[in-house]
Amino acid sequence: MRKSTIGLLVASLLVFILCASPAVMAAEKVRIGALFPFSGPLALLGQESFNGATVAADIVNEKGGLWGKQIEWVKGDGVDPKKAMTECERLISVQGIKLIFGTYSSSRSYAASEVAERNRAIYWEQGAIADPITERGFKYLFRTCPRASQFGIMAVDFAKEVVAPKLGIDPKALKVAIMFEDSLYGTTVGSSAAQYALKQGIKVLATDSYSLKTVDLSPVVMRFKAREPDVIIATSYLQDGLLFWRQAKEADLNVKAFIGTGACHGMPDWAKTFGDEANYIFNIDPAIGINPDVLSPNTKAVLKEFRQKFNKKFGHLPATHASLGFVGAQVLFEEVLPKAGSLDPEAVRKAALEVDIPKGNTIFGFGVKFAPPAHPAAGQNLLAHPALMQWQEQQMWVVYPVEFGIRNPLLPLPSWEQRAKGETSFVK
Amino acid sequence: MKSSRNPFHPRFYFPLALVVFLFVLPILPRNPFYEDLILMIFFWGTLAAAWNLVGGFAGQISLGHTAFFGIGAYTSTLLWLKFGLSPWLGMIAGAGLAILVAIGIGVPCFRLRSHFFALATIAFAEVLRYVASYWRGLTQGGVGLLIPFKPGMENFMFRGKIPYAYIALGLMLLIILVSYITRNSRFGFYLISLREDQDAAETLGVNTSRCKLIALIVSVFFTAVAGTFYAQYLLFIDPDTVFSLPLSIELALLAIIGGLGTVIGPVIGAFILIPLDVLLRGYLGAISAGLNFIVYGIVLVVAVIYFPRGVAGWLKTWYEPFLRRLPGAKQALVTEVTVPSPALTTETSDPQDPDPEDEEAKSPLFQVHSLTKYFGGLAAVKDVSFEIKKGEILGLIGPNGAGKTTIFNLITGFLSTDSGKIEFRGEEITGLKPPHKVCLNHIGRTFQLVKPFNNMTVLENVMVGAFSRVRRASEARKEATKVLDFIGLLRQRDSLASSLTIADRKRLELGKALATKPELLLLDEVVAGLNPRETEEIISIIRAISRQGITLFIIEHVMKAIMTLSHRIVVLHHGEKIAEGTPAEISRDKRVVDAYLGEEYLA
Amino acid sequence: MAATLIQLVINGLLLGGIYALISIGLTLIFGVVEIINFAHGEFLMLSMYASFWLFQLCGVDPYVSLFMVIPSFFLIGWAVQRIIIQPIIHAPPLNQIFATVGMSLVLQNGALFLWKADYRTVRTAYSTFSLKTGGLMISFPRLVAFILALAIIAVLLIFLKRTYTGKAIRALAQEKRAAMLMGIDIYRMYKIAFGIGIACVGAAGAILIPIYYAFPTVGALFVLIAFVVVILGGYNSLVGALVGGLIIGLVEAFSGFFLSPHLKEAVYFVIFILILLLKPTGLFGRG
Repeated sequence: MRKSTIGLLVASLLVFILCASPAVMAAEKVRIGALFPFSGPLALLGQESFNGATVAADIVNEKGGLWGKQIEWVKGDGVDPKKAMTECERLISVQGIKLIFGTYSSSRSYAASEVAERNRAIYWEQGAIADPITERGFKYLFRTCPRASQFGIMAVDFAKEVVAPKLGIDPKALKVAIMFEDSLYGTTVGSSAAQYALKQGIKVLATDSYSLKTVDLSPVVMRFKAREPDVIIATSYLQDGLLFWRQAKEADLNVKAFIGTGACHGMPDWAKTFGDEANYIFNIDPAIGINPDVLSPNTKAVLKEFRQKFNKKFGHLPATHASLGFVGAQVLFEEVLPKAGSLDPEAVRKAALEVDIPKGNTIFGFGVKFAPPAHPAAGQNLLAHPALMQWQEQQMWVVYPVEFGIRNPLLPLPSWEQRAKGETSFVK
Repeated sequence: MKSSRNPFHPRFYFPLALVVFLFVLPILPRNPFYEDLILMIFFWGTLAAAWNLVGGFAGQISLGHTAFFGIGAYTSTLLWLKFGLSPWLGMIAGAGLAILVAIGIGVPCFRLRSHFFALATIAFAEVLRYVASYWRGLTQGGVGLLIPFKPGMENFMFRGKIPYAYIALGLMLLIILVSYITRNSRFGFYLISLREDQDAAETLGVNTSRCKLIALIVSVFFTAVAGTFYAQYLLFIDPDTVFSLPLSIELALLAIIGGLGTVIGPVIGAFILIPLDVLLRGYLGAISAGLNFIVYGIVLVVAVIYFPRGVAGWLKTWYEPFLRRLPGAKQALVTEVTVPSPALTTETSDPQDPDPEDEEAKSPLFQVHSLTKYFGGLAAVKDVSFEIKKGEILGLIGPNGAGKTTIFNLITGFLSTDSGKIEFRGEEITGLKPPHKVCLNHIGRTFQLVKPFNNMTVLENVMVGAFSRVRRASEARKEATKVLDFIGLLRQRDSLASSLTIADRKRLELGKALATKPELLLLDEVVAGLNPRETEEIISIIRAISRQGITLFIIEHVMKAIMTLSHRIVVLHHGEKIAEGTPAEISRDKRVVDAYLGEEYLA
Repeated sequence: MAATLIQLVINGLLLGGIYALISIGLTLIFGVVEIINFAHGEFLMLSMYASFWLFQLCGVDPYVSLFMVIPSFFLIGWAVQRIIIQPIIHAPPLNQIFATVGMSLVLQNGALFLWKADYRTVRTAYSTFSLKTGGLMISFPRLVAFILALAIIAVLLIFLKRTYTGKAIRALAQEKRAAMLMGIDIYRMYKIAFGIGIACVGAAGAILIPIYYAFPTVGALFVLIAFVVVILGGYNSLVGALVGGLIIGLVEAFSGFFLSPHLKEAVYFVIFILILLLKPTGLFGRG
């Protein structure tokens, strides 16, 4: 009885493994690997990024597909870096996938893209922003989104070029405090902001990092309250960001400008929680709400279609991560793969390096041109950059860079009390 | 015992075939995914087996083993990135550092009870995670460390997976070998005995702290080495992955499912769970996020509740019959030495009073002067003095709470004395601690509540005691067999101690103590709870022990037993000695009768 | 600076109140059943979801949902004790630890399966309301949590001192064998104790949902702190859990402010290890 149970177990394992071999799989579809953290702590935004990409695939499929074939996603779950690596390996060598689309999380992207590179499979990164991902000289790695350092630099530039003059403060006298969570995302963005500020001669009063898993951020609030900075630059995920904001409100922490660099401060959940109190907060992210004058007519239509389709499919409008997924997939499916003619990695690579999408032709407004192999950031979309937005009337409006801007930035940040009472004046 | 192995016996060639199979395994699939899978099985097998040394054999549940894993990974990686030191050397440095840290944290933590130990290890790993994430100057914090890919043997980086697979296999075979040697050596017996009952192990001469520490050091060595391996394989480490709590739990999980405290259980666990994990993630995870972990969790709960012995426990019942069916099984593997059994003569005659003149000629073997022990403000033992002559049987009686067991604990190093002096063989042994030193000094004891090592066989139980005098397993087995014969448990030698009847457990308790070759043996209520026939049997064994020249010091509640056995009796009441004399004198002593004997003796 | 210091003390105490609230149940279970419930955080997570859904679907205010969560979580605790813990009550610690670890895996991922990874919170009028006096801020929901922690401890202490069941549970916690000999149905008492423990953490969840967020891994954030608090307070003392919670809260507030917000957790883990080593019975524990 027991013997047979074990035997059965082993046999079923073998059957499972055999069934998974590529020969069994149908071949008439264009099979793309989707490697995201679908479970574990990063599941929320991992799933959201993938959702955006599925809309791009749906659009192509509705038009008859790629090379007359339907696009099919083969999912892999990158719970942690090692598992992302294993899943990437499984997708490539068991499922026979030649192109991996991922990963949202930079640490998973590091590990998984290494596998793809060694297997000479294309790794198409749409949302992981750590700079070093494209600093390893990989041949088969392409990244459509901007890099972490660009977020930090933009925050400091904005503070120096816009905030200081508007507040009537000499940029050299502007007091900045930086806070960031301790995972890869927060650390890269936060440290780059701190370093860049130092270079620009801006006074940084505090650079406080904290654990993403913390359940209390009142010490950060208290430290900032005691130091009285003019500007806070913050990199937070949702859980810590929400916590910080609640505690900042409880403690009535007021500054003249607050710049978030992605994740939390661009998320509807955050804005919903704080309502009018979220107004006046700046956020840096690749933005789809840019001045439509920047976009080409065709791209305007694409943006509209994306928003509609996404809303229909998922019941809410796409935010940054979904849009990143969409842009990554759209560039791949509509610009690169048609030219490549097949999923052959060499062909895809060649086609990707030839891509030259001018400004205004992605829904983010930035263009696409991948750095050639000899470039220090080989495979990086050199034209990608984030935009800086401000929450006004519970919506995000792009305010910087100026030509992308739809509204003018409003400064200074009114106090919590004023915001809650709606004592604000928005100028279009 | 001389043993020559027969290469054609399945017990020899079957394991060999398995090892050969393992060596062939990595080159079979010719597919990177399966290579990765096999490699990961080896890697996790190594980690789980390393954890098993501490968690399984020694029963110290560490949930912070990732601390050592992370130290290994970070040390070698930082040395390579900052100083270009080959990761091979970095691996050794990392292991060394991890061992130093393990000694620092292990020595104090081992005093903690199991649940607390587990919590302390978690806390320790968490502290390291926070430090690694905070100390950006050194570790780059949450950004993690990327290792540039520069393939080469000296860089511990390879283009394909096969070299990694063989390194992992080598590590795994090494830890299996270490586990195997451990399991069959004195050290292994000691580890398991201390897991089963630390006090009982100490009493049998086991230096439990040292054993735990050695086990931890070996375990940490392999864990840290695996950390370096992980870094070199993934070429990326960050605090959240290498110091993560789930990782610690996962490797314990493999050992538990596979079979805790067994040699190959953890590896079997890896062979089952790692592929299962990949499959579940691939298939269930695609259906809905988290589904694979739900299955995982259910398997874990069911396993620990209903199959605590793990897969290896199942396989064991299946392995022997399987071997017997293989060709060559009829041949002898080694020549077994049968131990000539000295017949146990149990006379039922009354004890012979020691010759009074002889008695005077001998100096007392054991003396207690003004022994005092306070618990809080309460005197548990107060100014008690007595002596025991060589070959004598001294009884110690008194009502509950009179301090009898406290005196035993003071003598055997479980408690420290507040004042007074204990002398044995003319030397002062007051405050001799911990208990294993007392045992090695030839004082044995049994416990009122018997403390058998439940998951060891009867023979193994007694072997633990025998190991205090001999080093080799074969000698210990011989000694233990003799003792089992003497106490009449030879027939049950291969039964698990947990399956014994109360009476047999009492015999076993005696047997374990006897195997340590004591000169003075302290017996704490060995016949309590037995029926008259069983009592009679134990009494005759005690007499036989006495005839071998072993001096006995007995606590007993059963008056008939102590009155017939003892040459002299000391009576305690509220921690004070109220009488001393022959059984006849004691039973006539008014204070004794008033204080204690009264109704119980008359009844 | 004086105002800052007082504010830090207030923050620390209020945080400590939350920690105490979460730790009460764990203390009770640990003290009586002698099991470390590694799934404790997951029960907190479940009760946060329960309060969230009661609010979302039926419009029940979290503070009102308290009265539904407490009895239902008592029953859940009872059932868990009966089905999962009872079979391993005499098993080695390892089996006990991993049975609860397995339970936590199932619950955490069950939540992910059912409710996805979204952050759910209840936005009430009082969520971020704080009482302001003389430049000092006292968060209202945290104050409620603090008071409730005190109230629960008081009620439990009275229950343990005055009722037969309470006395039986105390007897059990002190000396299992004696309690058994006295004719106490120890398995029933275990179920009651486990039920009360889970009911306490259920109450904590309802109180926390206006302040924090329900998501599948939220329990993991709190459970380690609860362990620290329980050990610090002496693993079987309710008053110890309160004092332990307050101490950890203060340590966090001060080390976070003066040292670094990043190291405050490391600081209390170090304190935890030191306590384990120097005084394993905790501040209020019996030997």
